[in-house]
Amino acid sequence: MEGEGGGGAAVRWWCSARLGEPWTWQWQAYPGVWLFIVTLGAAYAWRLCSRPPRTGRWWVPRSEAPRGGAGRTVKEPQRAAPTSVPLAADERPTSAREIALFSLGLAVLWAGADWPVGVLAAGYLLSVKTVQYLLIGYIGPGLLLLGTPRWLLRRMIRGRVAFAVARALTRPLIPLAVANGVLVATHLPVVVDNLSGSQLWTFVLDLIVIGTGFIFWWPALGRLPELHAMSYGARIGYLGLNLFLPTVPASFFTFSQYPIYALYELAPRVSGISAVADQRVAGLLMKTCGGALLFGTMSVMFFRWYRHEADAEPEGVLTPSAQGGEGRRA
Amino acid sequence: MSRSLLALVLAGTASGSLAACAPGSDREPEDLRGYLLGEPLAKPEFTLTSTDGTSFDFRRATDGFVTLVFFGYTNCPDICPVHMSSLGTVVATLDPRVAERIKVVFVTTDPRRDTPAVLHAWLDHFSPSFIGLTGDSTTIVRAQESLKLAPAVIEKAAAGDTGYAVGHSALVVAFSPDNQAHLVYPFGTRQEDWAHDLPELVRQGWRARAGAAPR
Repeated sequence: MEGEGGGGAAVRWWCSARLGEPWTWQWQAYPGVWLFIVTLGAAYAWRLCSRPPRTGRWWVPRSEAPRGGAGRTVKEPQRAAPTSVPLAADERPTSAREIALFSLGLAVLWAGADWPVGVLAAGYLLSVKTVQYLLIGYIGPGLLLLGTPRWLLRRMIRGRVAFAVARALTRPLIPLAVANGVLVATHLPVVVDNLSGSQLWTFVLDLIVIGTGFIFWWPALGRLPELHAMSYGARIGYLGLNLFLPTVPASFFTFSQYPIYALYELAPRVSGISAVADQRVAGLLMKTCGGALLFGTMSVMFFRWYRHEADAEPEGVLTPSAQGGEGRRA
Repeated sequence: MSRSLLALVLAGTASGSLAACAPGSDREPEDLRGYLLGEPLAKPEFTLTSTDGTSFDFRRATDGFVTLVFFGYTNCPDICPVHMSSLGTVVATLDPRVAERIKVVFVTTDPRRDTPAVLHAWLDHFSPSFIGLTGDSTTIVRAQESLKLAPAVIEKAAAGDTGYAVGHSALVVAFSPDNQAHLVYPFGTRQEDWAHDLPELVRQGWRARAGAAPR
């Protein structure tokens, strides 16, 4: 599995650093990446083809058991903890938009994990590694989450253990700690320099990054009220915190006088870009593109919040005065 | 990769006076990060052609400077650009008073393709202060041998391929202001290592260091 030799003749199954081999734009096959993407897509398609369950049970804590709605009432939700309850009425058939978002998420994961991004990121350019992290650690998982219908999310956490794990991982501060902890851990020089040459370790690290992406986005994009649903304001605050924390590693990249990673410093040069310039570009990408992604999501949330409040606003509340600027009763 | 290994093997076998290149073995002084030579090498005398077309007397032109000599070629896909890029970055960040006491000399092992103009353009990409030398193959081979480096070898080109690779030593030989090479730097030397050692070599030189901390 490891060290298939140089020359690019041997097929590798996952993108890892090709230590000492000059970069080439000649296409290379990575069947493991394809298998991973196809498996994810096939699992989704299979679930969609099996119709949304009309009966079934899932675990929720007693205190948060749905009390019905839209024609369905849960009887005696507080008798056992956790208790099993019928399917909620807040589930709809999978929409075309969700399928499109999931497909787009798969495409983003594929682009981030396969040649050329995967190979460049694994052993040649730190800036491309940053792009890859944004693709497979943020954008891809976010799209996959948005594209997963609520009934399917509930099916995934239907078991008692799965639900307990999901509930533990979605506590408000856990995703913040996990996402930033993984960001720091996967960028430690000892990790990058020593593990990037191994296909197995690169695969494991990529899976961790992808999985962390789901955990990261859950507080902001999660749609199951039984898993620590937060208000719009709290969601915006959560994303705002994440806006600032990655500034620390980004600053190291941008302002470090010399390369941090031996892997990228000693790798054969690509397109003549120096290791220090590459590192600075990586820092800027992490800050600007990562920041734009989060800030954009915060903005969308803010406007949704505003619309939600406006829709919910009862008659007789204060509205801006046409003249004085002071509120008056409508 | 094979070229890198070949270069290291060539350098190792031909350099009888090289200290064992293992961390912690014979490194002296301890606070420098290059590898100490068992016997210092005297700065050799050879004359080649510089990138502006004039003849370059290596010994005379670099007398009293910290001089880093590397033999490579501009079509090198891995070792040469990394070494030159590292040195270019570090020299640019050093105190100008230190940087002006350092000469980086790149001698081509591929004079057929590396004309003075090609060398000039390639080295300028890393630092305009770098000196590029070319000349006839015999003189270049002698220069390598005078530094106990294995002469570069041209590897066979694939059938129908007009390009070819050149196996060469991956060592940078470092001369102190005393015109002796006490240290070499293998491929894998990091920029922070260069940034640590070069000012030390310029400011204190080898004799001063030895006098200050005899071992």
